[in-house]
Amino acid sequence: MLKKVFICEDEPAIAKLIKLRLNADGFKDITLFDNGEKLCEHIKNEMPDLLLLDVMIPGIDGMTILKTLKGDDGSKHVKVIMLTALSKEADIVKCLDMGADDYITKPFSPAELSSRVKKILR
Amino acid sequence: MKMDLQQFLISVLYFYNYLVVFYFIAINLIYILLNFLSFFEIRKYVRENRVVNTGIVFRSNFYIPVSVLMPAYNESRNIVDSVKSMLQLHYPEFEIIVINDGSKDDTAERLKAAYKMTEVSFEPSNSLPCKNVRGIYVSKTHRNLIMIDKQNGGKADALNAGVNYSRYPLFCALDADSVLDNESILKISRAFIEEPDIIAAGGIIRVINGCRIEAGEVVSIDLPASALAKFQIIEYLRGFLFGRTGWSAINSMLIISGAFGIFKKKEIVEAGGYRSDTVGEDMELVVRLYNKYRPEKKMKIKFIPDPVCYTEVPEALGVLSRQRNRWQRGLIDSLLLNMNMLFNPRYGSVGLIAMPFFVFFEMLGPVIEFSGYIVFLVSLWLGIVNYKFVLLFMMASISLGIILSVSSILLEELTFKKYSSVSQASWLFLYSVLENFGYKQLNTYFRFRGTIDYILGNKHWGEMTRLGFKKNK
Amino acid sequence: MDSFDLIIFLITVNIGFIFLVIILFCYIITGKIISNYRDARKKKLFGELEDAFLPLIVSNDESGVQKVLANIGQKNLENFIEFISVYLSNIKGDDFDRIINAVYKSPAFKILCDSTTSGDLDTRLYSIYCLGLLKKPVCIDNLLNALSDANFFVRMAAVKAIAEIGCFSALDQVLDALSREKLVTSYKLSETLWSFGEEICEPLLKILKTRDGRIIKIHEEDLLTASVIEILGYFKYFDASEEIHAVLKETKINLIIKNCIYSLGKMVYTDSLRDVEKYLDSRDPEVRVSAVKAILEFRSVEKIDTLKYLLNDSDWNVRYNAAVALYEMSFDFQGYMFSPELAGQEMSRAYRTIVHVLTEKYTPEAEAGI
Repeated sequence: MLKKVFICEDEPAIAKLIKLRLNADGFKDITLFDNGEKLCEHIKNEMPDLLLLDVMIPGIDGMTILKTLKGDDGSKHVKVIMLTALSKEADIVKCLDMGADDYITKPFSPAELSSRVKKILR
Repeated sequence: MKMDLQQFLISVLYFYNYLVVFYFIAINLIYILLNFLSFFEIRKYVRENRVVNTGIVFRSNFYIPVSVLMPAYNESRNIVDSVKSMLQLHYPEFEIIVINDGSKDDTAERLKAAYKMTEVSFEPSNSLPCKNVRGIYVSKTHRNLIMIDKQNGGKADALNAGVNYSRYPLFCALDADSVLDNESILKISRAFIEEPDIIAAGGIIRVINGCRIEAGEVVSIDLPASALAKFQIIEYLRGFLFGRTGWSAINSMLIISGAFGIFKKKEIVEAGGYRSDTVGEDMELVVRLYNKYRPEKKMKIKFIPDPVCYTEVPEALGVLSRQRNRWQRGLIDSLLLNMNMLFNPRYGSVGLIAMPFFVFFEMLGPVIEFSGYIVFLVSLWLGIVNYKFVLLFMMASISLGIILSVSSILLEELTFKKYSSVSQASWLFLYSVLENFGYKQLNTYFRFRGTIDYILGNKHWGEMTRLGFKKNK
Repeated sequence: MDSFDLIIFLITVNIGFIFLVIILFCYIITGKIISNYRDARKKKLFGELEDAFLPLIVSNDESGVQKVLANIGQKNLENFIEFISVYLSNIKGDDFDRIINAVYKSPAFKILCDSTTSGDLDTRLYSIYCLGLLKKPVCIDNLLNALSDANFFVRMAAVKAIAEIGCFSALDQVLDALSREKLVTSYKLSETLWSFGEEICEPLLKILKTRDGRIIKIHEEDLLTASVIEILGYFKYFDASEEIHAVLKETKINLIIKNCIYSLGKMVYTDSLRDVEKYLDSRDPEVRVSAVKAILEFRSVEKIDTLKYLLNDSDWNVRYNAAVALYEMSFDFQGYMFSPELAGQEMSRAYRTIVHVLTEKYTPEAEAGI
């Protein structure tokens, strides 16, 4: 089955890089978003299997999106990987507590990111 | 005897004409000097700060947390959007404190509903004077969002209440309709990390009219349709890019706009916070900071041209008139309350340069200018001065004004280039020429009226009608 | 003055002004056209670079990269740096190594090194910044030279770059350079030292042990020693605890005292408890706050009475942190609030501070389900 992946990241070069990386690893159905508001609008109509979410994005911040997704029974099943420059222990703990399935800090390794995506979607 | 009086009057007129000419030459020389100073200062800033990596604060622990204060009075239309936009700020540790200054509309209710606010009982960290606080609310969705509900007492009073309940060492004072760039706080707080003696800093205010806003963020910058707003764009560019930068370069910037400024809490609390008995609380605070600290210690108040705050400017003449009237009264009040600095060498460049300039040109300027027009006309009518001279002098003064207006656009073009297309640049150029035929004079008139009102003892704020965020979408 | 002359003079001035306005107009418009053209070229370059670098990162396909890099010269260096810095500051691991090796092999690297002595300020800053991101120690000599640049920002950029490369052998020179600067804050110093990464702790401890007076004095405070101590604490470098404890015993400078207490707390060096607790009644509220936080790190239950006492402190931060410490140490607030000590004193500082912390800790979090 084709897994659907959404990426919400406001640095276009990085979003594109992640998309290509995941493409190369067999994930073909990838949609990019550059702000939280657009993502939330879209998610109402179409749920991804996995969401790669930057914490600091324009529109609605990543934490709020995470909280809304995980707090709603209809969207609880969406796997979420947080991708962010915040690397302090407290931030990571907070993300995981709020239901994030994984947490990757920037700078990140694209190869590692891809294998984490694979592991979660297996 | 009758002849003598006439002679006397004529020589007074004659003298006054000379005074006006002298005033004109002096003010323009100073502007040109400021222009040059700012040019080098901004270029230096832009070049030196292009590679500063502000993102480092997210990984390290070495930043100063910031309390963002948003006083709100009858802002029910915008407040939810404004707060939403503030919540997007990129900064590792900050809190947003909305101070509901006894609004008569449902500002507080809307906020409570939108962010699921619940009443808590917080203990204030400072005790600056302010009106009765009715309740403190914390958002359940955003831990760093706080609302203070208090009795109405004006903006200064609201900010004092905000400072009292803020917990971080820096606070950022905003207007309720200010829209910050996501990285504005990140950039402006950097000043306190880079330089030890800074106690306050202000960023640039740009005009939001005409810009496209998406998700609480300005996504594309364009010119508004209204001519009045276009004139104000030129005026803001001039005022900030070469006014404030120039003053900041000689460390005597007397104004930080109330729409966006950041302060060290300790120093402000020691100085007594904001004064609520003046209409120009933002300027008064800054002037008072110089008054208190300049003789004692090394201190700096800096303008930083890069962190942007967008604000909506009035598109109706009446509103503009009230705003300028208020600014002028605030300016006069701030200066009169701190006259001990005038020509006082203990205050360095503030006492010897900035204060004299502000008192004689900014404060008395509108009166001299306005009466100058009248005296010129009278002298012309009486035939005391040569009409050719008057005409040519007017032309020279207007074209010098044009050069000054145009050079602020040049400065913008050489540095930040926010208005990107050729047609936008041409429009700005056109309006910077046009503003010298009417707009500037109109402004002088508003400020003249402000001075008169001040003398007559009018301390009202004047209502500001806002178009609201929605319109810009 | 003859009025006729004045008229001629004014006419000349007017004509001059009008010409000036026209010249300014032409200048602005041509400037705009040129800058738009440059932006278009930059976009094109970015496109080419992206087409070459993405295959390199994603599928280790190096074919296009060297060809594009060969076209990088002085002229488009700035654009190249802007492009590459996005990748360099967001990516790590093997993919990162592939990028820097590709750049290292190309002539662009040589140009970068040479640009550190360029006459143009922008170029110097940009190239130094980029060399820091590339993390190749071979360019260290260029960076060391830049430490004595005439421009403050270039010097600081060089310090930053050396730190990012993590070149500890240059630590002495960096500290020397920093100690010559007058305009430095303790934040800035700590941030710089932090950029070296965790491995800096060992050399820093050596420096701390010698304490050879390499001092930056601002407001009579020894910033460098303070920052060294802060960094050691930040990375919880336990080996330094004894030394920091020794510094705490002898110093009189508030900033250093504060940082010593912070670090000892971070390291949970309980041997220093006796000396730390002395500062719970320091005159400086910031020192008291750090002492309270350290007591919390130590979890020293025997200090609960002192913390209770501090709930009445004159400074809000001290009261608040004392209450937070008590809360974290599972102190029985409910019991305390109804105890004879506090009963009927709802307006007292202690009571209100407790209520503050309790409402903050309970209400929003519990209900929002964070």
